[in-house]
Amino acid sequence: MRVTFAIARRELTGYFLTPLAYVFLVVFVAATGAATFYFGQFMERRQADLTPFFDFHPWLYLVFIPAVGMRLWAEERRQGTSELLMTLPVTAWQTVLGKFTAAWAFVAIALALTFPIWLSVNYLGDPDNGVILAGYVASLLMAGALVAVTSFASSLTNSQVIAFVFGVVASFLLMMSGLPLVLNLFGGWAPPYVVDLVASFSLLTHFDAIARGVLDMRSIIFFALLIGLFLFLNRQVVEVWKMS
Amino acid sequence: MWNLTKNADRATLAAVGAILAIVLFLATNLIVSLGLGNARVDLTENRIYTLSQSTTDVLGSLQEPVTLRLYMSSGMVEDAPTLRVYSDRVRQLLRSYEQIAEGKLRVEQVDPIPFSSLEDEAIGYSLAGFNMNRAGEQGYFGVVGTNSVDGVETIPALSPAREAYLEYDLTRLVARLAHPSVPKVGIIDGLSLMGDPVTQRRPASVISRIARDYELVPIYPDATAIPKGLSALLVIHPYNLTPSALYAIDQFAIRGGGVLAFLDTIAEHDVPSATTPTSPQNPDSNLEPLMAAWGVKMDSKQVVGDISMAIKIRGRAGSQVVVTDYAPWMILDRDNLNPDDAVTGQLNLMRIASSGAIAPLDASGINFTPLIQTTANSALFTQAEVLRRDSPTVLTANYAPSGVQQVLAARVTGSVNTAFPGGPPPLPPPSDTGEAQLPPPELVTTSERPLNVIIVGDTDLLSNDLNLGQSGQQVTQNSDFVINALDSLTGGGQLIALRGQGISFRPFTTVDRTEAAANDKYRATEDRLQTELKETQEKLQALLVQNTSVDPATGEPVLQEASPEQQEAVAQFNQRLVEVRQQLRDVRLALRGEIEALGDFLRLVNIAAVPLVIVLVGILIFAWRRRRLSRYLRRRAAA
Repeated sequence: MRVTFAIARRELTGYFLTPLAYVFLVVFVAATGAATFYFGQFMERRQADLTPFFDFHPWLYLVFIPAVGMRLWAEERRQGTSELLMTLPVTAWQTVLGKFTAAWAFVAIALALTFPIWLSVNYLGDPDNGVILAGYVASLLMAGALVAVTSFASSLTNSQVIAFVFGVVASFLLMMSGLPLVLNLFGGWAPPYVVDLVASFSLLTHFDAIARGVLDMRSIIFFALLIGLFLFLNRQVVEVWKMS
Repeated sequence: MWNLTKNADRATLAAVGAILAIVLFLATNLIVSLGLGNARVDLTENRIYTLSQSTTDVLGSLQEPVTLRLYMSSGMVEDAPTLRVYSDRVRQLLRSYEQIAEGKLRVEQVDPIPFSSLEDEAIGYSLAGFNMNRAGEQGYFGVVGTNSVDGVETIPALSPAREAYLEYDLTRLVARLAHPSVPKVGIIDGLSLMGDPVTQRRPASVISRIARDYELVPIYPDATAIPKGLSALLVIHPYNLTPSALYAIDQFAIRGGGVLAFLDTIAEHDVPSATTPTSPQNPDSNLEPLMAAWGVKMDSKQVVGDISMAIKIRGRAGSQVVVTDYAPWMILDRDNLNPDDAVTGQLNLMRIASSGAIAPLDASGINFTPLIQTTANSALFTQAEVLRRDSPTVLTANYAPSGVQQVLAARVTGSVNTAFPGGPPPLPPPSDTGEAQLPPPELVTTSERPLNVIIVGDTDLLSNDLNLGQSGQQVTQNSDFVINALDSLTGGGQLIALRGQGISFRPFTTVDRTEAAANDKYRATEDRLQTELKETQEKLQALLVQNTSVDPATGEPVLQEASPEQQEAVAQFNQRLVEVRQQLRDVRLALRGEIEALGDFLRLVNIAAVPLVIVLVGILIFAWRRRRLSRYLRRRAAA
């Protein structure tokens, strides 16, 4: 545990030593704000809720989180610092968890920096703050899931660019699995319960289920299981490297 | 070689581990989604995703078994992601109903495949069919409820657009199956809302909604008695009631019968007058002498307006088209609806158009509970000035807030005396149709049971215009108000708590207030400028008339040559006109500017403020680190 925290802290402070983190944060906050006000028509709707804000999170994450996650493992393999990491007395699990925690914490910080919108909506009217809280929880969970997926994608390759592309594609498929686009791939030959199962993986569906104002246990457990699965797969890959 | 084998084994092991993990993930998800059912924490303010007490009460009070059958075409639902998600919610809700009812409620789900007997059943129950595919096969998504005495209630189509009312619709269906006897409500329909089979005009949506829960018994304006067995009376725009009819209503009310009366000072939805098509033929109605006996009054020649609740409509100001607040047409939100009364407590959005003001008579000794009130920014207009149909800017221009809240709907209870102390008025001669007249009720002079009356000062809230949106869906809670009122008057209040949750209306109150304040500020300036404009135009006109005389030869008007002074004056007037018009435009621009300034400020804060801070922090950190680094290097160099 303490080792994992140490690794996480080292990774997180490492982020802020380069301008990259600041650029990310600036672009994320600005993009979220712009999307809310311009695409989401926040002022024109004249409704005191943050639907136009949260609706864009999955799509912004689709681009931002692979950008954060791509450097988690691909960088190390390329620079050869993985040798250093592999000879330290830490287990693969601790490294995987540590890096994941740092990345997730970084996204959480970015999310927290969007607080002005919460202040704004409360200044403009009387919103349902319970629903807004649920929205932030849903957003955080979805971010965690996408970080886990992109972390795994990053561990598969030396190149950050490939890691980014893998990450985006995998995230996209998972988000969209509820749509006919993906289901039709299965619909023809798979029995209905398989199709149902694939549909139930949709990150968007579970995100919406929580963001509407309910901490639905099924959706929360789904996110937790997904994170667990991809971290485990991540560890398997890292273990395989260690040997080579 | 030994190493290689070991590595290969480890790799295989890792791969196997990965596959097992995926399988475990799939299995766990399946188990969780099947097993965990409804475990959830509802964070919403009104607990809209938790089953309400109403539902628990209704389900708990079931005596006889009830069966709910969900007809769901898998082909239709699978193809549409929103329907699929919604069907999950419906099924989940039905499962929880089953759990709470503890055996008294059974839920079944069937798939009405095209051309199967199940589809015939669905059609038999009048469930709505939708085209599923090119072959024209129909899909269904509705509920049919049955009880042990052949009662049938259906929800023909479960629509995601009506999700907020889902619990209400289902609980109501169960409640109706549990209590099949339908209360009868007499209706005196002064606006022909019941529709007309001859002209094939359909009933207003409000009426259709009432008719789902109550049996409506039509009563004519010349009735002599109220038929027996009615739980309440619905009186709509009673402009032509005969004295006998008024006596019948008086006696119904004095015996404690519930009366829901919709009066008006301008019934915009009455038939247009033949002479002035812009005005209704019978604009106002009231229930005198009953109102006086009940201790209330409504001046039928005064229309209530409230600029802070007004909706915006287009009008002309001179030659320009402007959008302006029209005070007599109002949007009511939570602040205007009594939170403590069951009828309005759960509502948060209604619309009203040209209402009268209801007030208690002094020293009347009755209980007068306002249900709907304006703010203190209200003002009273005369019926005549509103019917003149001037440009809406005229009403806005001279608006003077009265500082008094007006009551637009009120509940009246207490002990009252009859309005006809001399007994029933003489009966008119029997009509030619030969229909037997009911004998008038025996005179009762003082309340046997407390008065049970709700009076509303507007009839237009019953019209489709103020209830439905462009695609015919319910967009205000006017009909909820009516049904709640009837429920409250007839004593069947089980579902009232559920009805309000349907529409959630949370406006930008800060923006509304800013707009209202800005409007006030600029109105004074605008008034002054408009007056000056008018005066200048009049002066110009006067000059023109002065210089016009009639040519004795042809009888035609002739314009004489203007003197240099007059020409000078004309030039000045024209100049002034241009200036004033420009100033008016500036005022209107400034007004909009104030409102947009708020939007711009918020945009700036949300998009740029935090990023700027981040950049500053970043620069500071880097600057600090460079200083540390250079200091460290200097020390090393010195050592």
